Amino acid sequence: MKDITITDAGEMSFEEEAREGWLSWVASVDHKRIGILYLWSATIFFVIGGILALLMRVQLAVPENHFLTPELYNQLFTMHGTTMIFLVVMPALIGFSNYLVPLMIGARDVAFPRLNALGFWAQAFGGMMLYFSFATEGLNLGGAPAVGWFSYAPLSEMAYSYGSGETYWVLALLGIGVGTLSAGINLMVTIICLRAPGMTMWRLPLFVWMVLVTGFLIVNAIPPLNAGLVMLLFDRILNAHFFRPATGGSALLWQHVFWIFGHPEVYIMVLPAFGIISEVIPVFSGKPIFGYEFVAASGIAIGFLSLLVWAHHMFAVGLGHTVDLFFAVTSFTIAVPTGVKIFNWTATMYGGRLRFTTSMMFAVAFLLTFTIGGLSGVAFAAVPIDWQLTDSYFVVAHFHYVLFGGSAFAAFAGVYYWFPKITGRMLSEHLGKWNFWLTFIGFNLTFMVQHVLGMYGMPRRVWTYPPLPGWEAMNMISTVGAFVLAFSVLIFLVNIMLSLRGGEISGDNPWDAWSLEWATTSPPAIENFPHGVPPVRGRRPLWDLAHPDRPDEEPGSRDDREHLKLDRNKLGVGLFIFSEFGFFGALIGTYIYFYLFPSAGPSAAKSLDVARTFGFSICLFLSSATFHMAARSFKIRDDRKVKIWLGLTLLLGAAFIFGQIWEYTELLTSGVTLSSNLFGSTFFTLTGFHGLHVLMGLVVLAILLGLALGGRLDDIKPSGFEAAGMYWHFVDAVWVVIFSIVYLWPLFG
Amino acid sequence: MVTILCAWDPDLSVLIGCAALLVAYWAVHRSNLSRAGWFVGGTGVMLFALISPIDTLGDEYLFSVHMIQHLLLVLVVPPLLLAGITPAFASRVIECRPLGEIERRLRKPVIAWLIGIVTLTLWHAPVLFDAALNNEYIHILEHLSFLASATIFWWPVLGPLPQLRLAPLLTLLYLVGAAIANSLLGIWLTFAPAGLYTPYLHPEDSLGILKLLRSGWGLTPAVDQELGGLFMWVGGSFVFLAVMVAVLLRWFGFSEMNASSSAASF
Repeated sequence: MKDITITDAGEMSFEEEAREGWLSWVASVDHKRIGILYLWSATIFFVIGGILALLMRVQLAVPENHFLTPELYNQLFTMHGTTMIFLVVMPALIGFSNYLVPLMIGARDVAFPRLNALGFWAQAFGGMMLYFSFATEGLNLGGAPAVGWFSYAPLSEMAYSYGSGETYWVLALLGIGVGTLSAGINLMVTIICLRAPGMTMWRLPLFVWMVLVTGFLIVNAIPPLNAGLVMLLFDRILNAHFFRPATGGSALLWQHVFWIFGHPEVYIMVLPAFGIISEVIPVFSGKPIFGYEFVAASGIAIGFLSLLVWAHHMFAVGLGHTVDLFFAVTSFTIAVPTGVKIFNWTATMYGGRLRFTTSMMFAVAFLLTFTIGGLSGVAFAAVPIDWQLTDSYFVVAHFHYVLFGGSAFAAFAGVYYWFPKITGRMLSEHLGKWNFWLTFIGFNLTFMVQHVLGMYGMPRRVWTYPPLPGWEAMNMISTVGAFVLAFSVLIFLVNIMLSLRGGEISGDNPWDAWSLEWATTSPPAIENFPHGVPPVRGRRPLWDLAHPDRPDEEPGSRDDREHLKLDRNKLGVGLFIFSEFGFFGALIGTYIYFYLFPSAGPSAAKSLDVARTFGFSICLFLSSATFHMAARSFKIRDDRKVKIWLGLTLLLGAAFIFGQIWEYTELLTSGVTLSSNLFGSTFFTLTGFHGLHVLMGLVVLAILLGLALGGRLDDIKPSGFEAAGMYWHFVDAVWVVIFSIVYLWPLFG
Repeated sequence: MVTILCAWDPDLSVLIGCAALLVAYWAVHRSNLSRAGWFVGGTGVMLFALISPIDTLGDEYLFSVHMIQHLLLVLVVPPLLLAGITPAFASRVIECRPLGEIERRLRKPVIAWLIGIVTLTLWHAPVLFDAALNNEYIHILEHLSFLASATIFWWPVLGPLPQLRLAPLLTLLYLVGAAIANSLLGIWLTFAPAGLYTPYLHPEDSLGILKLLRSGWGLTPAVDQELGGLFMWVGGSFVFLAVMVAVLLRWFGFSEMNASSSAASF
């Protein structure tokens, strides 16, 4: 376990991985085990989040109830939302992706197995930290966060949420964000770089396509959230001013940052679900998917459009009619590619030989319930309707139809479909049918009436309510439904336990499915395809194997892997850099915003020594040139010069850090701090995070130099060296922007 | 209203420029006019953007209309012109030594992307934008640089020679990156304090329509600037989305043909 050697990134020594015992799970870097860990952690949190929901439904069952205190109720809905989104739906779908993507594309593992393990554990620790906040109740620190899953400022600020729960929330989300980001990058690189021969982009299983788009959304959406979380954290623990209107900050800024993340997040949770449905429905309809290209392309269109619509969460804020109008239009537009998909799935079933297994039943139910959630979403895109219904139970009904009726139904379909592959045993179809019908009935009982409740005017997030006409009955129905739903989940868990103990042995391909994961054994061998990957000539390789007389047509006969000659190290670092645009973009945007609306106290013009910083900046810019020389010498294998140029780069970078320390010391001793005013808050956050990136770069450079001095330059892959260079040049380029905005701009006015 | 619709401004430099484009096109494409429709269409849109009431309104009254003009020049005209060039002529041009060398350098995705985006961004800095409004020559320079930089920007995506285009996945990334950069600029214009571009605060009102625009149509300077930003942000994004869909269709179309019959499209 100690030395899981990675001979070539991605290839582990399989003897090490094959060990047993629980520690082998903790140390594992096998994508299948990590996938299973994700799925189990999602299941555990699903049960916990469900219990929180049941407690709330008990409280709401009758009017003027005192089962829970209002404080606890606030904590419960905050924790329920945060848990279900960040600790259940995302890990479940990332878990499926982790387990299935390498199998489906005929790869041995993901591109960066160790990063994969890091991602899971970062997110697991985030989850544990979130729940640890409950323990602070005993220390009189207020218990869990209680301001809702989107933590609107200034309610989330220290002045209004003085307990430590909110701080735990921020830290937990940062951990989860890091984990998700690394998973997203890893999956994208895996899909683009590690496909088996013949697996062209247009032959990829649609689940893999959707994961690719999801990865792209993760890379776009998570970094702005991280930037926002960092700012909120500084507000809370370092007394910064970002989101505090009382001292010139902007509460609206938090809403923008949060929803720039928050809307793509919806599609991060729904696109992989679309992928699962696109695998399940064709297999149980006995037909290839109808309009493969449309399903893939509409996924890309949805991914792109989802970046354009965030302000529809803010219609009631008062952005003005013009802005509302445009966002209403873009939001309506998303219905088009989504509708395309619904029709594709329906048309796939049309005229097929349908097999109503539990998995298929969940998929068909998904079509119904997700469409209802989609339609209420379209209704919300109309500004007047939004104004009428926002923050009512109609919203609660809407997003549960999307996330439970959509993502969770798809996850159930996925579990029933892939469980035999993962464990080698079938789930009981008998219990499965009970599971399905109780889930379907319980779900609709719980949430259908909430549409009406919302229209009757019941606001969401209220602890209790007066006995108004209709409210009592509908709330009682909803609570009963919630318990039916809970019972169905219990059956689901029992089904899994019984099957793990002694379920029917499934064989390699129990459903007569066609994608590559069914070609290997169940469960797959540790190296996935010990006897090689079957030939891939179309979209259904196993169909072609079984029916050599009438194979599928061969879409994308050109092997486009050759045309995407992307090195995995460079692509990985490239995507990381791309994600950094979102992070620095949010910080720089915030800086500019508050530069234009300055507050009293220190400012860039008054406090900064431009000439000195320019001197240190020159060092940083020069270090890009010296690294370029080092890379050149590395190419022609001039070891001595590599050492010299790398050493120089390291020195120049260190000089820059030294300059920054000098600058900070002077500013801090003259009383300019993160808490003095908004200039202080934005300046230190922006330049500080840049400095942190320079430090990270210096660590990488030091490792390279260490290898060079030890005479082990041959151990460095050329692409690894280049990837380090990409990162270093990027850090310099960011400084060009920051230096121009922070230091030079004030000189010109 | 009629005043606005009649406010055409047939600037001589524009007329000469467009005529010269058409003559030059005819001169080199005489033998093969199969794609001429695209080129004539592109020239037509350019002419429309530069002499129609769009130009008059945009120069004097409304930032949002000026934005429409810029979007036409950057996102619509160059793609149409490029679609009008035949592969045969394009390959003749790049075989010619210095031109081919220039093309090879400018075609690099990072270079082409930066030229397109940086040009677009720089001209929307208030200092330069106001300068263009106040000085006709700077204004002409602005429009010419939009056309040139946007042609360079679109070349790796929509250029006539398939073998010089980017791989489809990279094209998508190229376009998404551009859409994001374009959106950032649009977002900034939408949410920035009103009055970024001072000439629009107090137009000279040579047509006597200011009252209609301000109180009749409700286009106060704040709304006008917001609208301009939204045109760029949302309108621009939809153009990029349309091109992305086109790239996907092209990608799929080429895959369906067998390997021998299609030129290297990836």
